[in-house]
Amino acid sequence: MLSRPKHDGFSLVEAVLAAFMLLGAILISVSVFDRTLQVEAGNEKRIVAALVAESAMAEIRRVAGNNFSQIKTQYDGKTWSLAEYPNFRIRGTVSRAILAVPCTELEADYSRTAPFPDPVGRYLDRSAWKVQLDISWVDGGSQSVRIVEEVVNFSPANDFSVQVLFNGNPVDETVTINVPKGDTRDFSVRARSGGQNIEDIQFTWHVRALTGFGSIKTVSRDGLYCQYENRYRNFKNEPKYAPGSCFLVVQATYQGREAEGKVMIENAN
Amino acid sequence: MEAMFAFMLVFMILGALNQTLINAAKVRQNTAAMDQAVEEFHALLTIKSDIEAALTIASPPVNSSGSRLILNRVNPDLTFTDRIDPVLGTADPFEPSEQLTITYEIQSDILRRLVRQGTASPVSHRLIPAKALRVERTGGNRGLVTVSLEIEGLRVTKTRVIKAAIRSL
Repeated sequence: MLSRPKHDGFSLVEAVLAAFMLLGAILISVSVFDRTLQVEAGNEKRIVAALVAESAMAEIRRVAGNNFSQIKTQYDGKTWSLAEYPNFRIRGTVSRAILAVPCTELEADYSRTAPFPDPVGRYLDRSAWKVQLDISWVDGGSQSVRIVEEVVNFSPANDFSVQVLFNGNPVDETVTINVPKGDTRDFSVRARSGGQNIEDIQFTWHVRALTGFGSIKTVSRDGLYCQYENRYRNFKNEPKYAPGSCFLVVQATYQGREAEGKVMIENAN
Repeated sequence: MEAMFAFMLVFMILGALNQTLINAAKVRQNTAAMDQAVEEFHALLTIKSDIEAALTIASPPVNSSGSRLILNRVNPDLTFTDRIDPVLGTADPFEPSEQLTITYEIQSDILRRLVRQGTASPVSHRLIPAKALRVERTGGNRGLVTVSLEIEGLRVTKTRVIKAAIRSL
């Protein structure tokens, strides 16, 4: 019986197959390392982008202290770069921030907008800006870092004041407003500090009698508007008149500081 | 012919292996750079947090720059009820004994945060290795503080910058 010749080792086909498998494995590991390198480079950029975002937000916070009302016009839709990080692009989006009120359900029962003296819901939507910053960078592709903050005015209210407005113009106690018997006049109020309007604070109105007095007929729920009447009602709900002068006074408290504004009213007989 | 083919395969494998080793070294280097970047980020945010909580900034003065940042802030370890408790002091929540003086400076190529309470010896926090610290105040009393940190990286010297808005002074 003839025995088949015995061949030790691998054939060429087996060797080639093994070599390609080894090569394939190494190529996979190369691609994994390559991807890792790309991701790591991106991660460092993201960290720097976070520094850029914080720095840009700091600039906006500073502007809020000096010119709060201008933040939207100054930064909404703006694209810019910081001198320290020229390869990073910042895009700002600014919108009104609606802060929490004590009872949203109660406020929702009122109309959002209505002409005074109709009551409206009270929302704190004028004292904060919702600022969103998107940071992108060169070679970053679609990657970006986003931060969102509700920016408010933190300036100390050292010169907090309250001004009564009549027909939209500020008036004070040196100005006398004549109110015919039984007639009404509408007033509004604004608070100022550091040359800026202070929004979303509560105002309270009252009449301070001098030689005569009238009464507050209506005050808007946020206290911004007041209707004064040259008439008052006694305990029997009968209309009465007290001709003469009095002050219409409005008060507010902000950062622990109280301020009042007043205007002289002459109640005609 | 077979030998040529085998050589080619061997060289391809060795080449790919070489590339893998180079990439592995790069990954290792980048990981170290990432660690450093995270530490820099943490150090800068710590400085920013202190600036924003500061009651006063003693150095540098307004509209000037310096290589040291000194500020006073309320001790964050104290609760507000302790700060206004007359038994533990006075009702004033900003008593000097309830404040910390924090100094940032470079000592022996290390950025340090020195925390001093009252007349006690300062506690030194070692933050990160850094070559230089530059602090600049612009925009008046309630302006911006720009902190620049020069850090020697693995390949190049980098300057990291963060800005903070002064909230109360």
